[in-house]
Amino acid sequence: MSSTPPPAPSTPAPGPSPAFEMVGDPDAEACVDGVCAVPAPARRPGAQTAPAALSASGDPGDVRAL
Amino acid sequence: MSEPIKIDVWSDIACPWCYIGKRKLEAGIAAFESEPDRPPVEVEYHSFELSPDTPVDFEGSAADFLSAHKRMPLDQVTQMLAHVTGVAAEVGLDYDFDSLHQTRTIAAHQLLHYAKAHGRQLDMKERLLRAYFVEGRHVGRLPELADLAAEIGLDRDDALRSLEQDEYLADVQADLRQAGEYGISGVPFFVFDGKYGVSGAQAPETFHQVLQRVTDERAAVAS
Repeated sequence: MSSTPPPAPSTPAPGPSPAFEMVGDPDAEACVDGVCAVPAPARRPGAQTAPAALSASGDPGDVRAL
Repeated sequence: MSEPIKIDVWSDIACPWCYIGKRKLEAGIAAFESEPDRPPVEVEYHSFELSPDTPVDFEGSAADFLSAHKRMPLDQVTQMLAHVTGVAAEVGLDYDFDSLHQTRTIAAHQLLHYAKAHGRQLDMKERLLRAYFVEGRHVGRLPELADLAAEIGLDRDDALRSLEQDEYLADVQADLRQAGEYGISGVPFFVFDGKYGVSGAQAPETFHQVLQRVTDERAAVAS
């Protein structure tokens, strides 16, 4: 394991390793850095993109609001 | 009964795509659970503050906030609000940005942890999002948050006490720290069974496919 998450009193961490495999449309709309007006949601540094079977859906990543 | 598939969701209240993403996740889960021999799905929300510098009592509209506080051109703001309102309507959400009260959400996140401790987190999350985006309620002031807690059946006085004492502030901070360690800087962000990350308001089919993938992998391990 590359890291150990800090203890969360009543909120168990989703897993001991941050090495998620990213799936889905990498440009799906999200809110980043305080506003929702960036061209794409931020992703984990170095995260993988979706396998083809899982990457064909999601909303286009155009300018978003709020 | 098979072990539930766990979905951890990092999300803010003041996040229009989080509410839309919640609806799309729910649709994906519903489709998955409608199929035979599916394991149950358990969803847990975690705190994320998109704009911790927002005043509790920001004076002005959502458009004012974005154009003044975030220095975005007003015409761009207007376009964006119209766009997100339209997308929200597609999933049955009637966003009302004209009546929205822009506010800091850290107290609302503490209330979500309070509700979780009382087994009502999902109801509280839905109530807070609806209050903020649809009903124009103020989700930054403690008495109004206590009112919302009471509306889902929690004890108003005890919820207010908890908020006034910052009883769950450490839990909120732990969520924020965890998000930082995971490199999550945008929400909604979904983690399936601690293995798969999904960023943004994806289509229901995407969530369904990830649930299917987790199920297939479990079956392969078991066989």
